Amino acid sequence: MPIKPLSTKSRNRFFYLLIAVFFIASPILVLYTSGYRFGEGIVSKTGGISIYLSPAGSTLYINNRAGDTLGFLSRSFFVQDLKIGNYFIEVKKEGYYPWAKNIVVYPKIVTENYAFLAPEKFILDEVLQFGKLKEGTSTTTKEVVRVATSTEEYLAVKSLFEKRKLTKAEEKKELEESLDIHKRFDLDETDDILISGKSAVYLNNNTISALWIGNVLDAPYFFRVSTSTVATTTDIFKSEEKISNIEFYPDRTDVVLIERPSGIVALQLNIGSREANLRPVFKERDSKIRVASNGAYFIKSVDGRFYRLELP
Amino acid sequence: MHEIRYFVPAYNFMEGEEKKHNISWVNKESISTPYFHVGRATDLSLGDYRLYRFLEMIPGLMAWGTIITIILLSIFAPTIAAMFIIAFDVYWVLKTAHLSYHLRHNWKRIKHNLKVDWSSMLENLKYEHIYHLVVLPYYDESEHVLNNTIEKLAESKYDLKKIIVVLGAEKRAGEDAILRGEAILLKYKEKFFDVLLTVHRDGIPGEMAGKGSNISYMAEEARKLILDAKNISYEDVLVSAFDSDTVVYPDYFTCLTWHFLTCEKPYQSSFQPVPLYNNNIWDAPAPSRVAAMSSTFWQMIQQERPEKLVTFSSHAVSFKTLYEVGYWQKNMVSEDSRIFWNLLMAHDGNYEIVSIAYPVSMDANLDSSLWQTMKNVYKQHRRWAYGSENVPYILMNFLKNKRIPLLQKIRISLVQLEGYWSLSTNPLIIFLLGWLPVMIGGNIFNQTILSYNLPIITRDLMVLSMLGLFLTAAISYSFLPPRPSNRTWRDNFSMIIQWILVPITITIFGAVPGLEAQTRLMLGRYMGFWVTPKHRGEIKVFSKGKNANI
Repeated sequence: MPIKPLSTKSRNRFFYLLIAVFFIASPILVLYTSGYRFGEGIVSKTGGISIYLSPAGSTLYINNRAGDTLGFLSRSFFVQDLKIGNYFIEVKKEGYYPWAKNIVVYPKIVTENYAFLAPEKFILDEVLQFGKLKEGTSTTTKEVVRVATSTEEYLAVKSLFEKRKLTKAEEKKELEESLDIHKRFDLDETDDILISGKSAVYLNNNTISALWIGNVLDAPYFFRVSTSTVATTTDIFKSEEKISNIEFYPDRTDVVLIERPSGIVALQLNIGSREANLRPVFKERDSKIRVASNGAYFIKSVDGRFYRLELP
Repeated sequence: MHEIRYFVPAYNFMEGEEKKHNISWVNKESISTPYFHVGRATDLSLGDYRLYRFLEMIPGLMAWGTIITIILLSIFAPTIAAMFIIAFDVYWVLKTAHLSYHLRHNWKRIKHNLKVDWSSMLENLKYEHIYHLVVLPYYDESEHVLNNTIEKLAESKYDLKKIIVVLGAEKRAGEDAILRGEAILLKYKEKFFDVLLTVHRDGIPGEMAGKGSNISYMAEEARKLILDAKNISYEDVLVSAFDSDTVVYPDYFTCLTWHFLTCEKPYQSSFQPVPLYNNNIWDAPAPSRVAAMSSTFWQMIQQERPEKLVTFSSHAVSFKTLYEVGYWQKNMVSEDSRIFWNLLMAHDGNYEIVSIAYPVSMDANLDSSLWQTMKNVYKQHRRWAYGSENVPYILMNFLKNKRIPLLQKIRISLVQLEGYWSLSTNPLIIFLLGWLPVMIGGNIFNQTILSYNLPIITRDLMVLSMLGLFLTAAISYSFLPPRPSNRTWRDNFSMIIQWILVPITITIFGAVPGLEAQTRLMLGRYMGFWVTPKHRGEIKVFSKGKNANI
């Protein structure tokens, strides 16, 4: 005899079981994914933190306790189930300066952070005029030095550090562009300014400040005083030394490279940054840094040597 | 444009015939309305036209309403959208479990039915009076395809002298097509009770070029030229409406006859086998195979849910029952499913489908290139999805027919609406729209724990639901015909690994054509019938002695 189709009774039994599972599982999952956890009374609200742009292999510490370590392809941490309150978080990796921050965890919110782990050693390629290997191009810092050969590039790099005499037309165009940008951000014409979308990082009297002209909800994290307060103009860092140039760190709009008499340093933009937050990039005094039109970074040391700077 | 253009009252066929062919279960009142054979809104007039037109829009409105609502919620209330998506993910996992439960049981039934000795089971019944009328319409299919179909009919265990084969050519397919039919006719005429070749004219008023008009013509010609001429009672004839590539397994007719003779209401029932797409499964590319097997699985699941089962593709029904409603509808695309709704309305709701859990085999989509094959798969699924044209038909007849119980009307309406809504929206919600709140929900939402967890939970639940694919792969593998000599073990491996394509195939060959079909119906841009091209490699599907294991 053929097997009969499933009976209505067994089908209904399974169906109603699944209905029950749905009505139990759905609210539990919705609450769980929204940050609610059992404990402290019956249900308590928790929060989370996320830390972006950490190098693979770095480890997160929360209140000095080691947590996750990033895998080969990961660049960010996400931790939830955190009780509401203050936390001291650090991201560490061998060969990098550790990154640390005090943060506040709010209920049902993920506090977002961008880590900047500066390498202890940067790689430099020396740019030579005649393509001849040159021994002993050591600098005064701990950087690994790789000697490179170059001919035409040398002149192009050299010109980056020279004030070229502009034609009148070029002068006029440059002035108009500069005025346009300064006008757009309502800044003093003398300010050195870096633009990234609707945010501007500018230098005025050795103070690095930031300005946001977009929707406050879209402002980068360094404009955020708290989860509910956004400062559209904020002073980031007041240098003890004269700052002669600033450039964005490659692929980062929250990190700048600063040219000072004592050398070139990197700084992550955070409200209230101090000298201790500076990370050395090139320690030779009176060195200069420039960015070529192709995005390559070059340094000129005080003795007139040129280096291509490789930034991770 | 609102006049009744195509309607021919079916009961006209019955005048003077009823006494000869016993009593009718059909309610004449139900089949004499203008809504009974309506193909589209333009077949009706005035208020009925407007009502039917609105009903045509419902599937599309539901699908687009869902998609637009999710998009708007994702922008303006992303938290609510995210909560809905999580609940929907849970629903999807449980639905997968629910469907797998039915699928597994039907698989057991099919495997069992393939081993049953149906001939000896028939011995206990009086069955010798039952004739089988096999309707095989064709267009430009090769003689090879037609030959293979009829060859397998001739290998049936049922008495071949009780089988009538009707080949139906289309005149517009040209003289070659007719010649191919004649060659088949000459070759097999003596093997069966009779073989008839009909040629359906093109451009008959009230007909749409397609399978429905052809097979209705074939059935009527067979009635006049064979049944009436040889005085065969309509009640004793079971019609199997096949495609030209439908290949039967040896016990198909014995199994069908047994179900017909033992079911509760043989003249108020249609009989549905399970369509496998094994004829050329080793030649078809992976996406085509997955799409074809997915259709098989859906039919298997429906076999265990008779209240949701509707005739699909190859199906069978008593000639008497069919004759009473004027055969298949000639003025629409989905004649295979519409005949069930015609019969349900004609019997005032007292009509059902008997799932016979026995397979027939058909061709998976295969063409000269992968791209062309994909296009064909898309078009075929769009045509199937255009079955949503049944929704306005069902709702209209339910509104007008007061004799059908209200609860039955509500249940059927909800099942059909949910079915077409699911087809066109569920894969989109799961695989595309589920990420939308994170993408367009704005910065405030993106800082919530919910926003961070949404992709994680969606991914995890999706992986959980994909576990059902292990069952799917196992069942599909068990249905495979023996591997042809020109294939290697790598092809066996491909038959398993192909199931990772499911998220893509159910979106591209399920949701997208479903949405297009419903949108066309909603906008009144009606579809015509598209004939699926049949291509095969070397066919070694049902070698003798291996059929029991398929």
